Amino acid sequence: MNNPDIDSLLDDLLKGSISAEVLKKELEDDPLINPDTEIEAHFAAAKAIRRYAVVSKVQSFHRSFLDELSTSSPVQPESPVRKMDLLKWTMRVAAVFFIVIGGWLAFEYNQNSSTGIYKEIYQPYNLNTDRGIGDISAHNMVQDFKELKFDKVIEAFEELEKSNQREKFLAGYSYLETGNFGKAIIQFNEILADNKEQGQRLYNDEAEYYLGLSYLKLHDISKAIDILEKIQSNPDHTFHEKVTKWTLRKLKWLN
Amino acid sequence: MTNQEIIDELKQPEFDQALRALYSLYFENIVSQVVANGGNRDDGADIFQDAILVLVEKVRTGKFRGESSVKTFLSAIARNLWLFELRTRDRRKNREMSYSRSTESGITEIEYGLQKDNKQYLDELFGQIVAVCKRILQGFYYEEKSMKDLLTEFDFENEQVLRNKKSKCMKKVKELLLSNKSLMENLKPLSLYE
Repeated sequence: MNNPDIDSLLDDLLKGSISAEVLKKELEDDPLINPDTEIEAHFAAAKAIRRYAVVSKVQSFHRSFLDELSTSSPVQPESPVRKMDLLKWTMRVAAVFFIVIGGWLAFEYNQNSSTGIYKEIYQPYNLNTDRGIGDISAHNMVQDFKELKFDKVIEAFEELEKSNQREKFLAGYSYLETGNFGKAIIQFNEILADNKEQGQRLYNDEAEYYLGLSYLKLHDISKAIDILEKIQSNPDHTFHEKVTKWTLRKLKWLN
Repeated sequence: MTNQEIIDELKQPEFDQALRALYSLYFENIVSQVVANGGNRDDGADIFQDAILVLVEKVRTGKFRGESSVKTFLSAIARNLWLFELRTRDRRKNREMSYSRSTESGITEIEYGLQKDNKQYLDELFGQIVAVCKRILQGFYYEEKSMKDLLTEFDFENEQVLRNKKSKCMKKVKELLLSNKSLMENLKPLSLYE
């Protein structure tokens, strides 16, 4: 009987398909085989194989579990680091928040300052839209104005013995553009006063608007509000769209 | 998984789900238990693995049927394994004689020692067996697959060729076992799995 056949018989015994007596009877003809030794070795081998399979599975799972644990366990030992990370993250968020808020506040402050509002609502005067009332031939104010030569405009204006509304406005605007806000205010107020006195509206809207801007430049918020409110409340005003309710609200915060 | 589901699966050839449940439920408890008694986490992990092997052995041989909870059983096993380990370490230092005595989990120190030794012997023995032999033998004796089923998993011409190969593999295991008297003796009292 060859080994595979003997093994088959031993396997049958292992499974309980045959008894030890039947096996021994089958093997009794082979003098080289000791049935008891064969059975003992076969059973021991089967037990060893089965236990090794279990040990291998548990060891394999154990290793995987420890590997998983080591990759995830930084959670526990490194929790202070995590907390640091969280702290850093929170600080970072807070920093970004403050930068954003700070930036916004700075922006808003700048916008809400009289200078900021000035920039927001300022519109340069375009002489092409001038509603001409006849040229001023004695000087070159218009041409200088068009060429943004405000100093020359001022120079010419100050040499005049008598000025009309247009000359006053060109001068007032030139004062404004060159930083002479007080003088600008004087000219714009004169225009408004003359118009009021004479019942006309020559350069009235322009004078009001640039008067308001001049007050802003001088940080005279109350007077700026007064004049700009007048512009904002009049839909027909030339510069109505330049002055919004929000502009006035911000000016009132500043006041 | 309930305790009974864990026990039922531990009797099956594949019991990864039960292991996952056991490790997720009790690993940290046992490790803490060992650490609280003078060990470190590595000791705790080793003890837990050995306790699991004892549990699987007890379940498969029908000696644990769930009368006590798995947690209680594992805890008792782990405690005794750790005490045994401490005594073994102590004996190594003091060269004392070891005595077998019963423990709460019903396992003697000799059994613990055998369990530990057997694991080592088995690793050594099957380390000398080629992979294909291990797969064939485990497929047949552990997973209890038929030769016909195994033939589909391996590249053999026919069932007889596979049978011959299995016989050669088995012969090698037996030779190694017969050359390891300690393991042979240790395996004798163990029953085949149910």
